[in-house]
Amino acid sequence: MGNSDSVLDTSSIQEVTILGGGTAGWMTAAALSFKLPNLSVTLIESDAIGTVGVGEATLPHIRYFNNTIGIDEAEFMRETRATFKLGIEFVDWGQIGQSYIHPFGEFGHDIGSLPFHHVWNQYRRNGGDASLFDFSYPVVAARNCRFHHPHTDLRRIEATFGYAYQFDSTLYARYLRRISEARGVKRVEGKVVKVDRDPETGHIAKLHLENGQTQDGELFIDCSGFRGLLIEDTLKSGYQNWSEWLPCNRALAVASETEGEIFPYTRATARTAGWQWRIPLQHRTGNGHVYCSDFISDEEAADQLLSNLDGAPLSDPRPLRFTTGRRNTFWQDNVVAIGLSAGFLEPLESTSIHLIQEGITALVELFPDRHFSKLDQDEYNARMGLNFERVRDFLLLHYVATDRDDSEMWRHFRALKLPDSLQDKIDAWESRGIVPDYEQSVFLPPSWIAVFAGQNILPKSNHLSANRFTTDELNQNIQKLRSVIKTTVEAAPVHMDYLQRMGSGTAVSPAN
Amino acid sequence: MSETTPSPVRTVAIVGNGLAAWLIAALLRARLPETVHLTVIGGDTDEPSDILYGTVLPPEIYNLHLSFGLDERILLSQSQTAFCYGMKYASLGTEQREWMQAFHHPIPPLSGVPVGLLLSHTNIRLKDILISAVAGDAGKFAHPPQDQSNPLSMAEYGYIIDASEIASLYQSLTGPIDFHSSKVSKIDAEEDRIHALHLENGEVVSPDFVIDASGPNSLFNLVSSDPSPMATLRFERQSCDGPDLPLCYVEGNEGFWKSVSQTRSVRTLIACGNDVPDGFFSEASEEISFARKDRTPWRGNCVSIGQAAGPMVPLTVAPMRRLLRDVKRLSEYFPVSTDMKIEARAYNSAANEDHRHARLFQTTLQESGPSFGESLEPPEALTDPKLTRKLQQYEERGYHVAYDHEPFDRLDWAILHDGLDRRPRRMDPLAASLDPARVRAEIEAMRQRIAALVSQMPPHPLYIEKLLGYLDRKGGGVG
Repeated sequence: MGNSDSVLDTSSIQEVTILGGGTAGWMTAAALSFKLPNLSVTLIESDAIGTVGVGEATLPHIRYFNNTIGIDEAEFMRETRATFKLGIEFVDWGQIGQSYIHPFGEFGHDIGSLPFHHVWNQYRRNGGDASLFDFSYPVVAARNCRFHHPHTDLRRIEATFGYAYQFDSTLYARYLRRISEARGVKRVEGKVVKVDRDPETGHIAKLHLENGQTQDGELFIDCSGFRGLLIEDTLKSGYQNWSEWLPCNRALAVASETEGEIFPYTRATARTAGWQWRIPLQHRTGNGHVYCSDFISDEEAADQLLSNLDGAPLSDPRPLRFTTGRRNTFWQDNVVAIGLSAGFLEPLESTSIHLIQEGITALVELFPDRHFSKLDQDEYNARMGLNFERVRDFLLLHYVATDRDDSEMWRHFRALKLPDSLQDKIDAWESRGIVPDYEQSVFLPPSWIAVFAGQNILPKSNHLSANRFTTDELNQNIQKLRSVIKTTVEAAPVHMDYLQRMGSGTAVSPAN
Repeated sequence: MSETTPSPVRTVAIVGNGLAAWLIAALLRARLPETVHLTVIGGDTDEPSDILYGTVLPPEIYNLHLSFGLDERILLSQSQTAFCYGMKYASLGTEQREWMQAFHHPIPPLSGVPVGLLLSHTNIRLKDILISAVAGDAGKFAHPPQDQSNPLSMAEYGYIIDASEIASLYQSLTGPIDFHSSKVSKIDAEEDRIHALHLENGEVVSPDFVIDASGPNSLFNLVSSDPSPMATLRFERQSCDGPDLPLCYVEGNEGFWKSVSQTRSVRTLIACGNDVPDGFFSEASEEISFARKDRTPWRGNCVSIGQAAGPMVPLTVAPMRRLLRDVKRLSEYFPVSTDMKIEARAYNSAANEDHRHARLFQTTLQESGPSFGESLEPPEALTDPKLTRKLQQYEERGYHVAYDHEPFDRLDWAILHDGLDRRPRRMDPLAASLDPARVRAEIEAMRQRIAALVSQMPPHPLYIEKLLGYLDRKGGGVG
């Protein structure tokens, strides 16, 4: 082995073509232009096609992505009219009339080596009346419309959370386009009408655009949306249909005027045949109704959506159709599908943009050379497959951890036989609060605890270690923690004041 | 078997009288309420098979110790324990290769690229930029400082121990507990449920829950007629004056491997393989024979931990690391009622993965160099598709495949690959995108900073001497 100054040899890929703009396309372009600056990146998109504008709510991981590409937070929030996000409120899921917030953060503080949820469980079973969510700093802050960045002293309660953003994904894509183009990404306007494949390898060789232009390429990133113009239409990857578990197949999206306070959390309200989202941005509120067409008509779905908006709608609802599932292969030959072309899981836990980010991260780590090693593809496909499956199980938990049986959809879920992997997790929690302890997933123990506890699946026994505490010790501990959280939140800045102070606010009319 | 009505777990028998038994006893006694009655059942001597755990406690022991009130001051004052920066390997893998399998925090990436990928730009090896590896190799030691700008803050450390001494220390720290100084001679069991343990002294114990910490020749041998292939390991404990290097030295030879490590008063030699030469040990050496068989860890009302769940030899820190994970997990999944199927399922699912992944690491090392004769790891570990995937991905481009429940993390594997002189076939594009000259300069600067710092660190024996003196003056009672 010697020093490898000449490693950029003829086997290195020099050109990447991204098909499709939108969030997935421009996130990919921006990331590649930063992480692999020697690449020549071309993005083809058509103004005529438009984008789905997938997901306006994100997970805390997005901050890592933004940091990686050198984004300044205040500027980014101004440009995308973003608000902060401390979690997701779930309304009417466990029972009608109940709500909880799945926070980005921990519950309480461990006592000794005993995780806090066991302490709370003991307290609850002793007759204590406090909700687990009273002991989550981000939940209490979110309910009180407060926000600040996490404290740097990790021992403090104000450090026990993460945060994400709620933003206008169309503006985000536009912002990323500007960044990408400044770093040399070439944008080509046009619509692909024909795809040539290499007769020997079967790889995609050339894209023909409607205007007669052609685009050669070595590696193609398919960000063309649900259709999967390259991965499916051309390469016939095939699709794993997961409707058996997650039957919702349509959505209606509409923006509305913002009225009242702008809360630092997203809301997902369960409906009779699906659920409705509410995402407060600086200039408007994003809304949508995800539903299953087997259980409700499109007209009824639209009525439910429009009659449950906080403010006046800014347009007619825009319909979307989808089939929950994933491509058999996310990466096939010289095509990698990222975004909706890779698969679709309803955005109940804001995973759409996150799965794009996971795809980009895996692509960068497994970036191929011209030999297109099967090893790279297999690893990418295994890694993304696990991501999709674990998110699927977590989403399904929301539908089955419920007492609801007031509509056909809820009765469908009550009769559903769950995958063993999910049933085992529910059983382990229900027995006495054992939570899944895997590491390779976006949703780690606090997330599972939030949904279990928020949707009335509660442990039937205590952890034996919790029995070591006397009732007085438990009460003191619990009351002290609750009081510290309450006092600290009261002293925290109001969400929008904080946002304005950091220079991220925009004074705009709701119609913008 | 007739189903009995579930009732709370009130009585627990821990079988064994060694490191594993007293570690779980100390931990459970500190964590469980006094209404749960703990009994330890062991012979009247310590457990010679503890040698299979080796002599190195890895860094994660620190917090586990604290959870039952054992801080480092007590550990040092009440035992002859020394510090340890890792295992040093020689003549394993490519001929004449030596490396420190060091304990170290993950290295921050350079310009967003994992440092391991960037080494292809240089002639510097990973071990040269791991301060615990450089210091260990030089026989130096100092505690990592809080100041994160100091390279030494990246070092992690564990301990070199004498297992029987530490088992006694754990025993002394364990709160109220019954101890039966007798071995189990017979088990009454129906299907997977143990009803009674008959002891050699005639006593009979009927616990709700049994923890088998009896070592490789476990309780199951009493109830299983299934013959298992046997293996042997020879060892010797010699007295010595003071500590030596802060590491455990392992050397590969044709037909066997041997290790040497030293606490402040005991030097332990271990050798394992088909052809351990005469004269390597004195007549005072001992031999352990053990059945090479993995078991389902938790069956019915009995869970086997550490070596009792499947023997491993201490070629790496894998057996000890696996024990610590078993102990920690058991304290989390401890059953509340005699119906413990759910706990067993959850425990087995994770513990089996732990064990499997520990074997991947150990197998990779074992199969890298000279043959030690009989295969010490189950042959199926060699063809485990998870291992194939890990090795292929690393050899292709330096990519680290990660699974849930891995006792050895990415850096452990990176050090192992580097130690075995495995280099990726092609340079990762991320690494290739950086300016090689700048990368070389930065890594060389890192190497030089570490070398300079290590040159100023005190020798391990001197550091311990000063530390003990300091603790003594502070009233730590060292003597």
